[in-house]
Amino acid sequence: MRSVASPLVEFVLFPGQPVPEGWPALPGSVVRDTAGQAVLLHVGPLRWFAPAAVPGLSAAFQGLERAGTGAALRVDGKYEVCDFSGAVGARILASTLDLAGILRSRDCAAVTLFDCPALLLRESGGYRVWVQTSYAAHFKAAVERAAAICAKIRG
Amino acid sequence: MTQLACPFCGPRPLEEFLFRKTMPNAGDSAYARTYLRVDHGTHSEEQWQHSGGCRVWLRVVRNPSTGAVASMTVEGSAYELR
Amino acid sequence: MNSADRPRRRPTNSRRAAREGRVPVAETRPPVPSAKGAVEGKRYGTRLRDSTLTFTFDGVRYAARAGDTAAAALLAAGVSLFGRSVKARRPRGVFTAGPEEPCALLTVGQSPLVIPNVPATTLVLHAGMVLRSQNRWPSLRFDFASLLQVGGSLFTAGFYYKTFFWPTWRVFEPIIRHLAGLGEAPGACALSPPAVEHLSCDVLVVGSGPAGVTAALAAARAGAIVVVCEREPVCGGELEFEDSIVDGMPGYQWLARSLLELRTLGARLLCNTTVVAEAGDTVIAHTEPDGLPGDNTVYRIRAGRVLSAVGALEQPIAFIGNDLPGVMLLGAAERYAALYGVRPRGPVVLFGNHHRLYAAALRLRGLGANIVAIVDTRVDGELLKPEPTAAVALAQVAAAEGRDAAVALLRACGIACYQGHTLHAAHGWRGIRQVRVAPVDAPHAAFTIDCQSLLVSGGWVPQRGLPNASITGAAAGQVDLASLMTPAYDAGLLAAAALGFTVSAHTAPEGTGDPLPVVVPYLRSPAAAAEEKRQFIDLQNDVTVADLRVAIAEGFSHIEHVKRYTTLGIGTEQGRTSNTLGAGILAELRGLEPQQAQTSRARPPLAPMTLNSIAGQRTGAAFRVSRHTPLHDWHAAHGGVLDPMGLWLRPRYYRANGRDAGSAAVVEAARVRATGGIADCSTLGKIEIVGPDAAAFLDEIFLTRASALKVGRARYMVQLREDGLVLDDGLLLRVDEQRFLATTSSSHGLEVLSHLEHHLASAPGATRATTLPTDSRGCGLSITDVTDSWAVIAVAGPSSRPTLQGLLPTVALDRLSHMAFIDTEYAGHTVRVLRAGFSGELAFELYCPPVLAAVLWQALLEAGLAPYGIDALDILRVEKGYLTTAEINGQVTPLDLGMQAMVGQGNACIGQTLLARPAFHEEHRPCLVGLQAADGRAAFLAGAQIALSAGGTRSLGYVTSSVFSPTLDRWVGLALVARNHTSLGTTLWARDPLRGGDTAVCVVSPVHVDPEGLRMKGLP
Repeated sequence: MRSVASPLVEFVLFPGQPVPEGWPALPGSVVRDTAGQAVLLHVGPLRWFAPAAVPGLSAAFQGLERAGTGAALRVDGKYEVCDFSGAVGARILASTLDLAGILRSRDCAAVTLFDCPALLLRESGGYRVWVQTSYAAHFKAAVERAAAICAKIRG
Repeated sequence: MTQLACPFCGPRPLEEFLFRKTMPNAGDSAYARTYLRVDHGTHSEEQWQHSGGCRVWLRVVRNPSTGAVASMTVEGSAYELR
Repeated sequence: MNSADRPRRRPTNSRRAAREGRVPVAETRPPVPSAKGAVEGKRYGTRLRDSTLTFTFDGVRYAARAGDTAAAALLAAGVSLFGRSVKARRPRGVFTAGPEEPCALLTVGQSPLVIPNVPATTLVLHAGMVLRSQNRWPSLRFDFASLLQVGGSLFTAGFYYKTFFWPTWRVFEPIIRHLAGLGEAPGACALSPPAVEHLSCDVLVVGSGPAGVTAALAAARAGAIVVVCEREPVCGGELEFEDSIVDGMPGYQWLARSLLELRTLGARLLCNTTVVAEAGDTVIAHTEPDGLPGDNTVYRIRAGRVLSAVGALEQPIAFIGNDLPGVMLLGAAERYAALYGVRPRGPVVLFGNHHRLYAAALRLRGLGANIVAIVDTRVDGELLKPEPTAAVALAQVAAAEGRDAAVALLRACGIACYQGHTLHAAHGWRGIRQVRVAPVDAPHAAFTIDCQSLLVSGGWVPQRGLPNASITGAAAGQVDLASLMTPAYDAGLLAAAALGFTVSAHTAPEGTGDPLPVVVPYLRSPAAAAEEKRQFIDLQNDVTVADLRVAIAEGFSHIEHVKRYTTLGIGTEQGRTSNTLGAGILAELRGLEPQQAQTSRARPPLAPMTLNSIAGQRTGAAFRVSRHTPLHDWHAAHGGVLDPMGLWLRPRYYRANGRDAGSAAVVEAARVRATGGIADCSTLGKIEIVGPDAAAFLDEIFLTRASALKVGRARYMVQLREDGLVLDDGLLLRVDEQRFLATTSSSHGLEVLSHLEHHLASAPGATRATTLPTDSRGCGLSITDVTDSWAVIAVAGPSSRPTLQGLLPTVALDRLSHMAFIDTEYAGHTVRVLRAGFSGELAFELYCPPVLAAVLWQALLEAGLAPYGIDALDILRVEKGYLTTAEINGQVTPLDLGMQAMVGQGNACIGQTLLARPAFHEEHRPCLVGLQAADGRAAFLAGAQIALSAGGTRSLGYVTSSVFSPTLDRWVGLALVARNHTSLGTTLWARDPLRGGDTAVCVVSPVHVDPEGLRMKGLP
């Protein structure tokens, strides 16, 4: 679990406005950059999450705001991030939600994990989770506990 | 009924949703809308929020006796998806 | 195997048995070097592995093979006594070979870490396991309480409703508490939390017997994702050991091949996993590896379709003395032989009402069991049908040549066949010694047969599974292999097709096994009325035929009533071996037709589930989620006493300031008024509302108009609910023309967020002026929760401004007027400095990113300010009459709280309509007042009721908050009191009968300290 250094933005599109060009339009879809890092996550109706500082993105947000298309909210510090990799990671997440079922037709989702509000993203080789900061301590303890139990029962 | 199908998020556990109220009859006074419980029988129109997920407000039509959900749509125009 | 083991103090059953001339122990397991092998081409001991282990039962050490269950190992060692029944403490042996075991329940482990009521039949042994029998004192062989059964007829059903009254129940209660119940409750938890797994699949097949495997194959071949739950450690059910041929190969070979195919097709096979319940469309199953709770996994499975192939349960027959150790179900004996290589002891008699008795007799005899007689209640029943396996090829010949030849053949094997006979009674003391048999139509012509094992089979009853699943296989009544495979395959295809998976090109397997038994129903052998009290139906709770008669005589004739009155079927196996028998006998006793027999309703969980499993991982610290502020670690490290308030953990006080909350809070509050202090207010809810329509929207939300707020200023705002009562209060900051930040009470953050989102979604918004292009619909507005992206530090007191100015040299703080804010920089991050506070002092609230919080806090500490906790915050705000959720309790209007001016502005917001109701202007509405003790320093506490006189019983309201004020050196408080009694100076009484009496109080202004607000303006 670690704090997110980069600026975090939640962008809300006003109703009736067209989805900007190149943005993930389908629910739960994700747009990535050439390195495979997620740039925009469509996590809620008319709501996108931008977890990383991407050149040009903040300028794009400002332009859209000026045009009255939507609102960009800086939410730095709202989330802490945690990566889950491999089968073990998937098993830990499966102890709190139906991972396969939820991500069956999407790559990202707004979820509740171990009773904590979070955003979930499918990455190559695993999953990335953004947990709201105030819940992070509880989330970390729950994950460690689930990991210990899974390791013990498997072994 | 342990899962509800959010139009945005797909099927999710019931615990992620928040029930607010059953819709009043059209034309009711402010008092009736606030206080009087309307019994729509098997066709109950209700407002729920997907608070444990995408936080969208939903209009749910369901049968309270069986729990069967007839439809779940996004409430109002605040979250129009295009 | 046992002979190498030296027994401890007490003799083993084997030595005693040898002394008493009974069958020596070693003969219960065939004496080949490995008990697993083949005799006459039949496999047995299939679950055993080669290594051995030792375990302890009731203080005696026994040897076992790896893979043995406790029941199998103890049976092999010659143990016949496994426990005692609940009510009458009668000796009990092993009755079944599965989780439906009513008798052989053991306690595993040593006090206090014991696990009680574990069926010995499913408990797989580990080396060094310590087992104990239950429900007996001082020992299993000599139980003191069983002497009570000497007065046998006292303990009929419901006896406890009619006894233990005189002189008083209290005399009997300790004794009964000691005697009652089953098993010892653990003194500490021996179980670790279970793993939990959520999974989804297309088709869930419950049970992996022939029908389950076939159905799973069909669905998997059609392309569905299949999960199979099997409660045994290995899949296969009867295919593991019954004589069967499927698709031309032995059943167990076909099973292995099919399981491999299933795994290749991606199916998931969960063994040791029992489906226990269904909740809506989620099936809950749990794994108990080795039959022991703990180290288990709880599955929550969402399946498109559920197929139940849970099989059928063998039923007993009731006769006199049918509860003696040594009486066992026939199928169980076959399982012990086939799976664990244990054959039944001594001369064996079989008793039943169908022809599978004969096949079973020959199979067991082939393993070396000494079968002496078969008692078949059918008069003209068919003896044997042609069987496919070589082991009973003899029988084929016999069947072809006619019944007499077959009987002669069996007699030649030493098996006497008594057709048309019934077994009246079993005799013995702690185990069966002989049985009394007579022809069905000539009960007086009885004779006895000596035996040590009696194997009973009264037919099969489908096992109950999930109510909404499709049922296939033996659970659907198809008890023979030949007839169940095609329907099971079709069921699998149907389930897959219902989910859109097309049919594959494969065909159903074809199998033959034990043919369909023709069962002639037979529930109990005849008995005189006086002897019906020894014909047992429920072996665990000692429910007999006599008890059913008593229940009927008492007027309880419906099965649900009878069940509860007699305790039939309420034990750990929930009537699996007794419900159907009891229902049938009840119908017979009531003179009804057999078809009219009803069984009681089964409810989840379908198998015992520990509370540990149900709790899952939500135990201990994980029971409830808690939220931490960015300064949490600092508080914890510096003596902050953290208490949960709602979801948040907040510091109530700091230990350095006092030995308890009361004294520390007073010290901290006094220090704030004297010099200054800092507090962590990050728990405030914060919501950012952004967009062209933001101002108009917020006008509908707040009691006063948000659009009138200027950029760079904040205002105290109140929100109403639709019914006109106050929902919450907080500050609203206007960051920009189109950008607002609203704060809420810490406990209302999520509620207010939902409230705003709801209003946006569902209100018509006719009054909003939209600045968007005309072709757009909806509102140009966004609502975002930013609670966690802002930490808030309150800096309050006379030295707050100079201290802060030292940290922020570029901001002109003395020009920052009250309720204004400015954004500045500190250590590379934005900090919003708001001049406002909750203490009535000159104060600032610093909004900063969470990463900066600790740095800023530390800088403030080093500059000389000390922290104060929530209790001190409470003292300061009560002195000033500021409101929290103690006053805003969801039952008061803004008028009650003294906000007439705000209401008077007439803003058309949520709740204004219903706020205008006449009832809210009545004279007995609660009114917010301040209270001080009439005689100086007397205390009164929040929650005390307000009355007119010292003993008055009519409540005029109650004290909402009370604190000891260091500024005034007395207790002060706020209360909601009926308005017509609230003129200043009125003396009222705060009545607190539970906590210490009545205090006379005076009504004063809620602003106890500094009513002109000079301190807030920085004036002395």
